[in-house]
Amino acid sequence: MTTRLYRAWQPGNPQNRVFLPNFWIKLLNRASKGPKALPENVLYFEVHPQMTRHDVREYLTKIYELPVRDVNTRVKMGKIEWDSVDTKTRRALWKEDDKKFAYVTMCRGFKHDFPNLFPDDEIEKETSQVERHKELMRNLERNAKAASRDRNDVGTWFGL
Amino acid sequence: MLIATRHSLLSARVRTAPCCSCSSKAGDKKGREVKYPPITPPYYRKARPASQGFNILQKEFPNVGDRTGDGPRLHDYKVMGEMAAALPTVTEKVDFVSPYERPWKKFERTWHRTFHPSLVVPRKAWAVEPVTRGYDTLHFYEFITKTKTQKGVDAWHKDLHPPTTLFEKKLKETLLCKLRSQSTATSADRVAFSNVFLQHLLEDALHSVTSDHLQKARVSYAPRCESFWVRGGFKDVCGYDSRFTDEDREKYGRSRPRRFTGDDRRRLGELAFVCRDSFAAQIRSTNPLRPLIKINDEPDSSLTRRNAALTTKESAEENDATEDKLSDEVDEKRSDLATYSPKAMGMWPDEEPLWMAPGYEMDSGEQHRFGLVGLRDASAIEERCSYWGVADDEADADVKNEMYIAMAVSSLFSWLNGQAHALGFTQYNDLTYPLVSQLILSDGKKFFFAVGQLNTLAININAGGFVNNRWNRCWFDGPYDLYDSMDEEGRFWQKDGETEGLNQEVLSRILKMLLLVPTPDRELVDRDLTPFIPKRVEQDDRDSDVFNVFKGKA
Repeated sequence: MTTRLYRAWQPGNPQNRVFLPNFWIKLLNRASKGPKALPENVLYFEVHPQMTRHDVREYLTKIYELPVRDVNTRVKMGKIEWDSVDTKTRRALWKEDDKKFAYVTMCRGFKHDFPNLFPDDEIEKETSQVERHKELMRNLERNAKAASRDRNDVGTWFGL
Repeated sequence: MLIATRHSLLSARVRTAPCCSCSSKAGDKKGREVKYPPITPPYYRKARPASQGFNILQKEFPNVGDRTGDGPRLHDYKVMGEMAAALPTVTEKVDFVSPYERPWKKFERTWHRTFHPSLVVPRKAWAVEPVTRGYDTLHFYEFITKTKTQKGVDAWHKDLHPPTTLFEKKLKETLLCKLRSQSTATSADRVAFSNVFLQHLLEDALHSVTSDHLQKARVSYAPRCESFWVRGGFKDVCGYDSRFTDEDREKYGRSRPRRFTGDDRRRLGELAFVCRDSFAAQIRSTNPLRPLIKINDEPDSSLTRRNAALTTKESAEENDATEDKLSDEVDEKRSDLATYSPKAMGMWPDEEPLWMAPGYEMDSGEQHRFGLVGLRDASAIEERCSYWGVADDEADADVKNEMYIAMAVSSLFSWLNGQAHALGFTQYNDLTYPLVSQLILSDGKKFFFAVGQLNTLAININAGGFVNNRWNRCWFDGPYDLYDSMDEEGRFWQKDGETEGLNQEVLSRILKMLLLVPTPDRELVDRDLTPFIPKRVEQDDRDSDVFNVFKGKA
């Protein structure tokens, strides 16, 4: 919505304003298994808190021409920071903003895979795995040396 | 009972052993030796897979019996079955197996302290709505009722050819009267219209045919019809197998995932469901309808025809082949495990008390306990489809039809489940013979027909070692238009615009459903239809105060 308040429109007045909502929609990655898993034809969005189901449907059908069938929304309350643990006497110090999420069901046969936004991460992940393995091997070697410190370098095939 | 719940789980009749501190032999005050019954130890093991172990000994030498948790679950299931069978009346059985847990009272919540046992959130049941709220959810409805669906109901009404002239004449008058007098502007109006129309349709049909069994049958208008059940196999959906990392522990403040809504407090992945249905009318009889498929644990050998003696060998073989094909198709689509949460399928938890009412109250002494035909309003399907914007393109071609099928599956299962409980069966004491009922769905213009056969109720457990090869069945046909249009003179026309009158196929099918005679199967003639209800108690129920007041005897 615009921040400027305009005079209330009365029936019969000219329509000299254009409604420019600052609605936005963000596609999120849905869970593939577990209690939050969704079918393939359901997309999961975070949306502007003032958007209704109708708005979400209109947004996706009019702008992106998606075959929307059903929209469900959920509001997640922001976290509250309390000044005390006691639930009876505590007072709120700060509250984070609420968030609204939309579950949009598309037509049958619709499929969408969430894009890999940061492919470089995989390389880093693999590198870090190699590093971790090297560290593990170093520790094992150190432990083995410590365990056989009294063996005076006798060959390992004598014992375990 | 191994796991205590807050509702009346234990009754004095089934309590077996005294407390563990009692010895089997002791002396009384006079020094005589007293013999106590043997002490049954409580079952300590958990019904879920054991943790990884806290020390090296537990990790290296885990208890094999604890690896899966199936043993304790099976033991508990067996004991529950014995206890449910021991209960004498149907109401006690229903109360015993009900998963309902009442909410905590204000007193309990006010005076709860941190050192008390925590107030566990009461178990709720997922509300199954016959008109599906979720888009494309037929497979889920089939899973939670363990039902296979098949097109075509001709096999049930093979030798029936009723005349439709009188019925058509009566129905035209009723239809004209209702269409001209009753509004269909709002959705509430449409529901009221189709309910009243279906009730009048049933009356017209009953006045148009003559049959001995219909004279003795019971007709209930707008009966209370609801039932609950538990479905296992949701363990993966509940997410109990995923182990919490240190990060998760810090984030959620607990060491394991939260208990899933509708699940048992032991986290078994067995969710409770409830269907509160609204029939326009029901016809019930004292005898059960004859099933089309016999109950048999062998899926291939269970294919038998209803009138095997009357059919030729070729047609029987043809039917078997069709059946095999269906089984393959169905098994490919779904497995024994659910894939999604009920919430993802548009369901919502229901916290109202759960009870069984298959068109009559359990303690009413009703003798017409077997469903014959049910009529139900289906006008909400069109509204739901228009809200979704279901188009006539390829992707949405079957959505509307599948909504009718899902409605038939859920309504028939719920009704038959209630009937089975009224006969003394529970999910722990499975059916010994199949139950059959027929269903007509209509919005006043479109008609959909279905026949359901309940073969099993033991779907509430999914543990290793428990094998249940039975499937419930649902045959369906339609939807068909009763007429396409009506002119100003009150004449009804078919789709082609040339044929006058109502759809003969619809009229004939309605009459055929009514004329299907409820005769028990040959195997059931000398068989006890209520094997889990003691005969003496059944007689007591009939002589109970409620029944006598109803009869005007008290």
